[in-house]
Amino acid sequence: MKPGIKTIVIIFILIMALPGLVWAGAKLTIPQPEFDFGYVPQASKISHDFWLYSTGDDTLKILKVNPG
Amino acid sequence: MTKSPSIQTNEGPQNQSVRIKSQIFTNSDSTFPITLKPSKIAFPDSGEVMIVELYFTITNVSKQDLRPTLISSPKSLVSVTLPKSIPAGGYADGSIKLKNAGQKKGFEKSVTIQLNDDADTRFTIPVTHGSVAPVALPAKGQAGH
Repeated sequence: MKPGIKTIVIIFILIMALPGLVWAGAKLTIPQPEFDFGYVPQASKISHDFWLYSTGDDTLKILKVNPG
Repeated sequence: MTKSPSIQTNEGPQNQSVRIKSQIFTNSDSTFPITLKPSKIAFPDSGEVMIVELYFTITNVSKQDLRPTLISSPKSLVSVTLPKSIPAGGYADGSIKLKNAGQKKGFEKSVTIQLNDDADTRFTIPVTHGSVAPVALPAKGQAGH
């Protein structure tokens, strides 16, 4: 049984879309993932802002942050 | 002390993490190549007269002149002034001034400086506004031995 034109077209579309399916996705990039506070007095609160970049081609969702 | 908080995203099953390092001290006279007094800056709750600028003294306990540079600070809340250099065995004052945004709300942040010694030693000064904490000393001289 020969495949119909419709089947061939669907297969062609799937093949063409495959690279996109493989590469599509969210991606998180943290250019400077490390920070050294140096000397810090005991019993004090300190802070630093890390920049998170969404560099993929899909929306990046932060699902959970686990404290170290 | 090193901590590595991790971040789970929809990128994939593996988490990414950031890393923070610090060296906790209990005695402000025990640090090298400088000592900082006070080691914490606390702007008190607004009274009739609001304190908008507090000073700290950097004492150089090493044998080389040192230049401090600002690495990190909450720029929208405070402005930081550092001495250009601190002579070996001498001292100099720095200051932290509340900007308008910093005067309007309480916060708990910190300022990190780095020295130009061989180890690129860093110090982090906790800065709070509106919480109960030790109050900074008033200004001394600008620099000297």
